[in-house]
Amino acid sequence: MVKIEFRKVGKAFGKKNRKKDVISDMSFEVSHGDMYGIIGASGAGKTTVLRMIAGLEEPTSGSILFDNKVVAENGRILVPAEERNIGMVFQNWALYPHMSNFENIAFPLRAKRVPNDKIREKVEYLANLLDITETLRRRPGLISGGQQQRVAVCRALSKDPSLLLLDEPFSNLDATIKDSARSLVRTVQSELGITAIIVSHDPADIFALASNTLCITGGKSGQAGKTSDLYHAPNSIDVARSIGEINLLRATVEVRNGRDAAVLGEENILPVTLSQAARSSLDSGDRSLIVGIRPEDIRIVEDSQEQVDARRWLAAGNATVKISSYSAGIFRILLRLHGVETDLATTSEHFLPPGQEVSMFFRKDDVKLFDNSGYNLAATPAAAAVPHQA
Amino acid sequence: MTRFRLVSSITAGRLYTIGKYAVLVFIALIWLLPVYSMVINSLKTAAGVLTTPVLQPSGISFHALKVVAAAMERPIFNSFVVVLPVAVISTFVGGMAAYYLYRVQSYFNDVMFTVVAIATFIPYQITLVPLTRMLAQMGIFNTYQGLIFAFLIFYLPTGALLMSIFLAVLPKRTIEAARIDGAGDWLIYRKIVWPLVIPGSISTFMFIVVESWNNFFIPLILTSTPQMRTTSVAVLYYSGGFGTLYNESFAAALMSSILPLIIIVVLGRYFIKGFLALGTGSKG
Repeated sequence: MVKIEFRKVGKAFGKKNRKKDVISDMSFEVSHGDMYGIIGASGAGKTTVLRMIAGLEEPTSGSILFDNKVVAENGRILVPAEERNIGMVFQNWALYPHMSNFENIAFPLRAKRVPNDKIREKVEYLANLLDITETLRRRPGLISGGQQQRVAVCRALSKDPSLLLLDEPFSNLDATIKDSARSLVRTVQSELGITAIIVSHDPADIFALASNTLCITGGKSGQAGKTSDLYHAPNSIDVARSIGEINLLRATVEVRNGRDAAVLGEENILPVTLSQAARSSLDSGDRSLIVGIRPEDIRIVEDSQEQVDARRWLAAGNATVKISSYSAGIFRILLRLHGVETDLATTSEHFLPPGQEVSMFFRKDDVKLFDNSGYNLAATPAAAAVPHQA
Repeated sequence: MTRFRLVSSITAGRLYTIGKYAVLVFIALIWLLPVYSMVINSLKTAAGVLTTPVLQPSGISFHALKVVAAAMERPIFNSFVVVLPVAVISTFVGGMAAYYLYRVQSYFNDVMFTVVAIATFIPYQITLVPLTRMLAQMGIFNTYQGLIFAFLIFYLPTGALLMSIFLAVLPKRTIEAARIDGAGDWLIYRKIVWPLVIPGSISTFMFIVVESWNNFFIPLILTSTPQMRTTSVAVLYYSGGFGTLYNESFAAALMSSILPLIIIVVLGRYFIKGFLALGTGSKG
């Protein structure tokens, strides 16, 4: 178990005159025994952060602390990778192709000069835990992807690391075994009680495993906090997009019937409540904003006579079904909202034929409003101090 | 009509095949000619070698080979004593240098790599005087250690350069995984890097064996007594002087090229494997 802290960490690659900042001014903390997620679009800098934690890269500026002890700062590594007691599962697993799976798992123990009988005991215990006992004598090239992943997890765990790092560990697995692999990692982590950090671009991995998450956008800390908070109250459009799907609609704020309303195109008027700060910032600008709504926060009503609870749902206008597709027991619907001519994605429990006219409602509490730079208007200005990456 | 076309296309294909093989056989003959003339002339008698043309055999006599074998025993032994350690050390230690330059990338290491590459191509001749003086001062002139030391100066950079070419196919992630697993550089080199670049190291080893075995200039300058002569130098004494016995000089040439020939025949497939590994980016 270990606590990790990033203090104003920056990382640049390249020579002096051609420097490229990959990470800048990043601060966050991972507490003891936590399963921490790092999410972001590809190229955002997730893997660089993980490699700095592992000790494979040094931070150009700032400092990294393990249990309040500085392990790297300002371009220098003070504790090298081999002394940080880390277990890591690489994206492609990086197993040693010339060794048997047994020797792969035993390698960290051999490096520590653990006696042979202890090694055998440990490897067999882990292999049994992850159900790969029968593959121990074979080489990594001769077993399936799912088994290779488990060998990689065993190797990462065999030396009892105080920190487990997982770099996109599921991206090379078939969709069918992804879930069992996720639950396996979750079980092992909670059973052994070690701190773990998982990097992924797939929200499914993060929701399945991480209780707290850092979202990296454009090399900066977009938002850090509880995974559900990132989902429900994202600081910016970038964060909202990284952690799940979101529909975005351009709108202008006008006063209708004495109340603020977001006007989508000609006919769709969405009453909104704006904070004082948000209103003053809009007054100084061009009064346009972006409405964000998650697919599950849209309700489709086919029958115009049906009563909808107005305290919870806002009428957003009429739309035409463009296409219905199917995935895991639910239909994914693409709608074209009249008057705005924007496509919105949502789900339905039953099939809707293309061309069907429907009414659309947005869940009142989950409509998100972003300014033109992409910040959430509901968020406090301090938390939203992240420039929007175009 | 169609039948005629079919027949003519078969004939054209056959002609192409015959032509292709004719060219290949011709090239092979050119390559084999020196070996052929070396073998048949070393089997001639002193009279036979003077009365028959070079490419024409004249009976089989092992006299020349026997005479030369007795005289070449010592030089061949000397060559073995010098060449094997040189090739083993150059490959293994050169590989270590290549590993370090590959793992740690820095401006300094880029400069070092350039220096290594330049060192590989330094002509021996220009180092002649300083090298001889250095060995004399170290008291290892005309000794095995002296020859090994001098060869290492030239072949260690070669080993490092060749090994760095073969090492580049090793994924960096594999080395990083080993570091995270807690292994130091020595353990990583022995247990991870070395086993994965074996085809490449065999190619490097063979190259250095053949090069240093055939190296004539360094042992010629750095040895002063007949007991210390290596094969390549000893062969020289079979031509010139008061007159050349061609059968004996061919026999000496045959003996001196036996080790490189055996190595190429036995390990040739690994040599090719090593270079194939470069193309496929795998372990070979």
